[in-house]
Amino acid sequence: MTTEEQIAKFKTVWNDLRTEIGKTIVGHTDIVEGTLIAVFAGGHVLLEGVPGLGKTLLVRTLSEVLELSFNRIQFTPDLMPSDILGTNLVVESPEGRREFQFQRGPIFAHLLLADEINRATPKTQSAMLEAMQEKSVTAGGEIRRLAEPFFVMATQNPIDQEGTYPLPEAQLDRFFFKLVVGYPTGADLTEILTRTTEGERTPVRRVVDGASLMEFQKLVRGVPAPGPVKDYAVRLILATHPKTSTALPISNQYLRFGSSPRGAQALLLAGKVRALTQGRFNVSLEDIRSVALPVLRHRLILNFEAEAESITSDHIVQEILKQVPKTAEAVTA
Amino acid sequence: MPEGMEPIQAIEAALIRVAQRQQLAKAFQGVASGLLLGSGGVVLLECLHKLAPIPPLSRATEVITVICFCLVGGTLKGLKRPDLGQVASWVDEKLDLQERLTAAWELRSTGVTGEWQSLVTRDAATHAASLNANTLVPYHSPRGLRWIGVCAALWVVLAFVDPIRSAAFRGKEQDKKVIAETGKKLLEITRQQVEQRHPALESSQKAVNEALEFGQQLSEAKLSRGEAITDLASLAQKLEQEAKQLADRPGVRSLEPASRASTPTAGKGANDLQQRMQAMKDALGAAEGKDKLLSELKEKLEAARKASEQLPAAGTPEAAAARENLARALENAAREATEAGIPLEGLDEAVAALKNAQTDFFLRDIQGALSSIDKLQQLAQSLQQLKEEQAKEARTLPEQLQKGQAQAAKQRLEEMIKKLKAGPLSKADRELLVDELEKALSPAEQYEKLPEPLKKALQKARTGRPGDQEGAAENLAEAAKELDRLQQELADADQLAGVADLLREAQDAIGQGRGFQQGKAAARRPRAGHAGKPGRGVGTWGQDSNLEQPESAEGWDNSGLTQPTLDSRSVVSEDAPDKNPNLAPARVKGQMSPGGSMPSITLKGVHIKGQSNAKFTEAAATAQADAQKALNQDKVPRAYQDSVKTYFDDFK
Repeated sequence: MTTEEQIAKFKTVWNDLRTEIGKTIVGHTDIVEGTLIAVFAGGHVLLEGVPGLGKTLLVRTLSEVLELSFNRIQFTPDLMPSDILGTNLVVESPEGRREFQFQRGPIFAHLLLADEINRATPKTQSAMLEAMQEKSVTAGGEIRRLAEPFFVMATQNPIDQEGTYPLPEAQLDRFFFKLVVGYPTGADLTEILTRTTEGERTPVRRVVDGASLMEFQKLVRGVPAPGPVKDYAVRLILATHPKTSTALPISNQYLRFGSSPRGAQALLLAGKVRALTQGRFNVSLEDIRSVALPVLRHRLILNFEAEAESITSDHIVQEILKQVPKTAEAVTA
Repeated sequence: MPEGMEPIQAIEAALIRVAQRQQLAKAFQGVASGLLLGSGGVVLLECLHKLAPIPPLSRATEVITVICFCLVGGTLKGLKRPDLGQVASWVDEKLDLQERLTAAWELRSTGVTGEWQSLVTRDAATHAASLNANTLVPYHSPRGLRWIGVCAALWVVLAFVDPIRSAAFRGKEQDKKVIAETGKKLLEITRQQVEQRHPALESSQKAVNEALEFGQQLSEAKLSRGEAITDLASLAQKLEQEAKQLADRPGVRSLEPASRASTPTAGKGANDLQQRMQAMKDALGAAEGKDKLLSELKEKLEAARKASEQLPAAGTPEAAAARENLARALENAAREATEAGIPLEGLDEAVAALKNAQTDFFLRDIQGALSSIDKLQQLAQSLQQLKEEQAKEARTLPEQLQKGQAQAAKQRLEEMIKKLKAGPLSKADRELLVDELEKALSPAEQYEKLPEPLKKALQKARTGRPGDQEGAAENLAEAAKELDRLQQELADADQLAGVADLLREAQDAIGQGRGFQQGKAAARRPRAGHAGKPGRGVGTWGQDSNLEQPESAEGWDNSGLTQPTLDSRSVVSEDAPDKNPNLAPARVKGQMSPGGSMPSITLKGVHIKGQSNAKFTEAAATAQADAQKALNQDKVPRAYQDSVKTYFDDFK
């Protein structure tokens, strides 16, 4: 199949996925698109929002439209790492011998829904670090590879809610996107009511399997990104590094830590997916700008001053987007 | 996309079009920036010049500067062709092409090939095809056009604004200008003098060179007013002293009276005079000695001219008769002139014109005839003057030496040498020669070393031997040489005095803050050249060749004119027939009685408050210059001149 045909197929799949998800999820177009972008880029997504906004439903629907294995973990304060990863159990063999056997945890699936991830303790949350980055699990001295594609779709309540634990920075950085789910509009709410209180739930069909998804991920990586675009992504990231020569004043004032290189990788990959969804064959500056917020908002660690002044990372990202010039000439000029 | 063109070529062509357009627009902007910068700079300089004493730029320089700025601006901005990659980025941003052109151009530049390259390039080419460089890069009025206008307006306005300068500064500038101008004039006149006659003596040469160097210094306006006046005074004094030392030498002093003679031909020698007289006689021809006839002819012609103006109206029998009478009278006059051998040009033509009633031609021709008579009369008058001079001219060596006519004496000596060298002299000739030499010994005593060669020549001439005759000729040549040396020294003295006069005049000019008035010096020291050598002020006031060429002095003969306004007041002529001793005034205003007290009145001075800023040396030098001027212009009575000079010379 030629690249052009693959791109055409990608567009079809993209549209189908949106249509199928749209059958269940009302509104939240940007959240749906953001989730799909992360899926095609091979990244994990952290969905944040108050309870009842359809975060879990979105992930469940996604698992239904993707022909992938799906597990769900309900994170609770007493959840242990072994409850996620699995554990070695003493089992008796048919020969009557007793031996240790690894009992896989729910993480061994293509798509993992980590529901209300911030309700577990940081220790438990950290159990997923290796899986999310290396796509493998080490237990009992053995490294076990996870099946690909592997996605973690986590949901969390705002951290200031009762009984929640903030996610460690290392884990936050492993999420490709952090999507903030807001309240639905009036029309959307009406539609939600109609769909959920009348008749039966509309079934969704599976659109794409894991192998195709892997192919699409490969296709996405092939989208060319011009030098100025890469340069812009780099400058955006550098602008978030406080107390450096490239930092913007707002970064120096309100940030304790800036984005890691993963942020830059995420910017470019997400931009590539977006370019294909827009019918283009190259990444543009606009692609980078449009994905900058979900990519960077959870990677910026605010300082006390920002907390005190109620400055959010979204505000800082938006300021950075405003202040960092699009072209390098403008910087030198 | 044009047919037959690869997508990347289409992109490149589009980008080149935009790049060229951008280059032109940048060059235009550069020219405008240069114009703004240049005009701003020029206006700033103009403002500074108006406010502070910095040298101004000429209008042409300013315009050239602005043009240079424009050219440099245009070249700097427009010389570099924009990079096509940058152009692609610019077009992407401008047209919101989402970096399509940038990506395509980058893939082409990096040499990446494959499906992605093809897809990206094709996609970009479709957008590049609709790209219009003219609308994308429109030529608009340059930024800062308003400021350029403001600068231009200021430039024009500033042209009419006088610089703001303090009175003291203006004074200094004026002084500098006067000093420079005076220096230039001084240098120019002194150079002319030196070109016409180089000083013979080394000391004179050095002194004149010093004056030249000082003139150069003044022309460069390096000296302050006070310094210039002081230096001029000291240099003038030095030159005057040198001139005086030279002129006071006995031999030179003896030559001076002849050099001061009023007639330009005095002391030039009998031969020269004779030649000039002969030339005049040849020019006069038959008219020589017929002054009366010339006057009569002139009167007749004048009368005829006046009569022609009063002729009756043309066409009447009376007019014809009057013309006939007039023509007859003129024919008689013409015949009379012809018989006397004085052909008058135009007279016959005038008669013919009168007969033909052509009044205009008649007047023209009769005027020509009158002019001929005038010329002849002037020639006759000049000849008469020369004759009178010839009568005064000394003919023998003793007389010539006695009168200080060095040039004539030299000529006489040369004649003697020629005779002695021609061969043995007859006894009579030798006696005449010996006698003349003997008589010349006494007057020769006043010419320093002149007597020695004359005595030797006399001794050798007496013997009458051919060898001694040769020796006598050599001794006479030595004598002539000695006379020549003395003449040179006198000329040097005169030249130094002339330069000193110039310096005084320059000092006067700088002291009074006016221009160098060369004519004043000329009027003050009118000296004729002597002995064939240029006198004081050669080339300025001393060389008035008109005096030696009577024919060219035609238009300046004012001898017949009387100007009552120039008559001296209350001066009674000695020859006045009505002189009455009782009417002679006892005291005359402006006149001095020899030996009597100087009439004076006391004037109450104006009291000036405050302190003077003038330096003492400057004031003293100015006072000296004023005093010198007054002395030179004979404003100070002769009896008081010495005391005034002494008083002011003591200011040192």
